Order: sequence, then C-alpha cells, then structure tokens
Amino acid sequence: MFGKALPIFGIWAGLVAAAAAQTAVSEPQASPNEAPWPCAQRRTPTISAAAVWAGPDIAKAGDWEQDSEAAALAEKLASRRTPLSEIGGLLDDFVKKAGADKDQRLTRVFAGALALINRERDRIIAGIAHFAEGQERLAERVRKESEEVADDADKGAADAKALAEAKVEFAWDKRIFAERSQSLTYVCETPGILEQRAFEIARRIQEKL
Amino acid sequence: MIFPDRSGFFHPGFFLALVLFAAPAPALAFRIFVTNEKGNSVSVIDTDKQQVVETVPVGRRPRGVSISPDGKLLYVCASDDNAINVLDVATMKIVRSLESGPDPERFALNQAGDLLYIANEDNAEVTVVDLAKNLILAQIPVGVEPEGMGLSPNGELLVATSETTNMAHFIDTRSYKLIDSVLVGKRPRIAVFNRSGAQVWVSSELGGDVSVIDASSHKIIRKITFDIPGLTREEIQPVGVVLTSDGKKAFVALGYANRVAVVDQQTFAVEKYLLVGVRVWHLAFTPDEKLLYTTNGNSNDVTVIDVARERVIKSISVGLEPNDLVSSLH
Repeated sequence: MFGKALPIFGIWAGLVAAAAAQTAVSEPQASPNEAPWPCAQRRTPTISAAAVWAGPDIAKAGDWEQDSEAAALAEKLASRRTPLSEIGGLLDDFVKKAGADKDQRLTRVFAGALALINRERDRIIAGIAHFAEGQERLAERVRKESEEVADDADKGAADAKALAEAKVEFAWDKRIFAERSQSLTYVCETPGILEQRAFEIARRIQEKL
Repeated sequence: MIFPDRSGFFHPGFFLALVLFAAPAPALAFRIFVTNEKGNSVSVIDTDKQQVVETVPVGRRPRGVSISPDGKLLYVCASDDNAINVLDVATMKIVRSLESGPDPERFALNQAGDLLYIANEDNAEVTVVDLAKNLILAQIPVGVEPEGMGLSPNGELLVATSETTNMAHFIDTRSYKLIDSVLVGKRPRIAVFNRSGAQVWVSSELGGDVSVIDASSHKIIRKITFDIPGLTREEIQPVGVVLTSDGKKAFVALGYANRVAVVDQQTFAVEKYLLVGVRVWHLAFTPDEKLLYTTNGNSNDVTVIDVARERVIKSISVGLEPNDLVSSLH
C-alpha cells in the first residue's frame, strides 16, 4: 500500500531536492520570512535598469508614459507575443521618425519596456508563491489520504465501499498534484525568460544609440 | 556507428581532421569549447566564424572544462554522473570516463598533463587522479563545498576554495598535505595564479570581492571591490577571473551584475565594466589572448570581447545554461 504513496513523495521530494541543489550551487540562502518559493531558480527581485542597461540615465530621459510613440513601442517590445527577432525592425522604424532627440526617446522606450516587463514579472512571481502555498496544502491532503487508504486496507474488507471511495479520491488528488507540479517547472522558468527579454531589448536599443 | 570507437582513431572525423590540419591553416582560428550545464552538451565555437559549428552530447550536468597541454584531449566534469568525460578534440567523441569522486564541479590539470586535481563539491575533498592509470592517488580533506582549483605555474602549490567555509586552502602537491587556509570573502569561487606564480586571485561571490593573496606568505595583499551605479552590493557577485600573461590586465565576471570588470593587475584599480549577458559566470582567453569569451548562464549565450580594445564584439547563442569554457590550443 505504501508503495502507491511513494510517487507523490517522489515528486515533492524531487522538487525540494532540486531547490536545495540549486541553493547549493551558486545561490545565497533566502531569508526565512519570505513566502515559500517552489522553484529551482532563485527568486530574484525586480530587474534593476543598471543590471541590463549601460546607456543614458533613464531618470533624465523624461516620462516614457508621456511619449505616446515610445510608450506604444515599449508595450510591443515588452509583450511576449512579439518575437525577439522582430525587435530590430521595430526599433529601426522608430529611429527613422524619432527626430533630433532620438537617444533620449530610445531611452524612454527602454524605461517603458523595463517597467512593463517588471510589472508582468512581479505578477508571475506573486502567482508562483501563491501557487506554492496551495500545492503545500494539497501535498498534505494527499499524504493524509494515502494514510487513510493504507489504514482502511489494513482493516480488511470490512468497509470495502469506504476503501474504494478513498482510493478514488486519493488517485484524483495525486493526479492533480502531479500535473500541477509539472506545470510549475514551466512557470518557474518565466521570470528568467522575462529577464532575458529585458536584457535583449536593452542590448538592441543600446546598439541604436 | 560503423567503427568501434574507443580511441576515436577509426572515426571518419579523425581522417577529416588530418586533412584539415594538413591544409594551410587560416590565420589563428581557435575553437572554444563551452559546457552547457542544463543542455548536457558541449558547444564548439569557431573563433574565425564566431559561431557554433558543432554541439556534442556529454555526461549529465557538465560544468568545469579543461584541455590537455598538447591540446588533444578535453576534460569535462559531468557532475551528475560523478565522472570526468575525456573527449578527443579531433573527433569530439568521448574516449574515456575517469574516476572523479562524487559531484566533481571544477578541476585543475597539471602542466605535464598527467594529474588532475578535482574539487568534490559534495564531500569536502580534493581528489587527485592519475590520468594514465585512471587511479585516485589521494583524497585531501578541505573545507565544505570545494570549488575553485588553482595550480601554481610550477605545479607545486594547489589552491582550493571552499564555498561554505569561505577559505582558500593551500595544498603542497608533492605531499598532498594541506599547508595553510586563508579566510577570504563569502562564497569563494575561483582561484587563479598570476603568470609569475607570486599571487593567487580568489573571487568571492557573496563577499562581492576578489582577494589577491601573496602565494608565499599567504597574506591577503588587496581586496578588490566593485561599485556599479544603480546596482546593490548583493547584485555584484564575482565568479570567473582571468589574468593576462603580460601582467597588465585582469578580467572578472560579476554574475548577477551581467558585467565583466576590467582591472589593472599592477594597481588593482577597476578601470571599466563591460555589459555582456545575463548571469556571467566564467571567462576564457584564446591562446594569443586577443579575444576573451564569457559564459552567460541565463541568456544562454557567450559574449566575445576584444581584449586590446576592451570592447564587446558579439554574442553567440549556445546550449542551455552555459557554465564553463576553454579554448583549443591550435
């Protein structure tokens, strides 16, 4: 009976082990008061402009939201629906009509794209933390159910109906847990993908300055 | 495979390589071998074309990589396989796998090319392997999570760093005895000797600094720190360090700061920061030291730097999570 419960613990233990392994490689310890973080990737805060940008000071470029063309381009660049391969062309079009203060306006485009990417990234990170809490509760329930199934089985065929029901419930929760864990590994990659995107946008813009 | 391929000798690629070597060589084209930690592969970059010309599968979680003094063999730490893969550079096939002790992360090869010193991250040891015999000669206990392995130019002194104990351990390679341990900044990563062997440079990822240690007195001469406007100290995490052999410049990869620092080897002054890619870990020169390559772990690319002009030339996409890299000798 115990054997049935093992795959679940395997998944969860694997997740925890992966997180631990990642911590051991190159990551500092997370502070203990932070919400649970289920990803192997380190939880990194908002991407600071300086981490990806060596161009002009964005604080001196003016408010990007007031420059409607810059804002529209920033939105397009930040959107994951825009393939990275299209960034160069979009920037070329903007540069052509950017006018005398081209560099300043390109800096605004970067500021806008970074702000929008950070907004999305923060939302995803909050979502992952929320999801982790739910998954912890589900893990606890699956563990209890597996114990109940084992207990019922030990009691013999006295309550065959209860045992059958418990087994079904257990199987469902186990499946939901496993599927969620799988989608989690994908979701965990998103903050990193967005950081790559921010870096790539910054790089392309700096090439035009 | 049609041919038995233990030595690589019978592989068609070997004959192709013979032909290529026989032809007049184009001006100084090298190959850069990049381990892809998550891709379980090695990307091969041609420095003439500045693009990946080949990607070969290796063991799981490849990290540290080194090349034999004759340039014929490539050694790759397959961390999750607890082994070192040995590849024939001509064929890029794995010809042997070596004993390594558990979880090998990085290593140093002696100049004769017959001994390998391996950092075993999981069990706080340095393993010494005789390459010809594939035999473990010694296991030397050091601090927790050893990582960086620097060998002095004369091969007599080995410096191993321990990430958790925060020390640089000095080991006598003739007796395999630990002779001293020097406390450095938090989470030391890389130890590298300068050309004369008088200094060891040790990067500290969490300490955010590079300790320059006198190799004979074991005293820290200087702690180099990095200050980038707009970034917090926590975001500046030095990992890879390389020193030019003329004693003039040092290049330090700053991890989460996505930059490489250019440092004057004589004055220890930080002169410049070059924005390269996301999570820059390690660095490698071409043998002529004209070009410097960096692995950018999170943007899955390698950046090419013109050493003389101290400028970024190009980014080249490689496999998933590039970790370490080394240049061919020819």
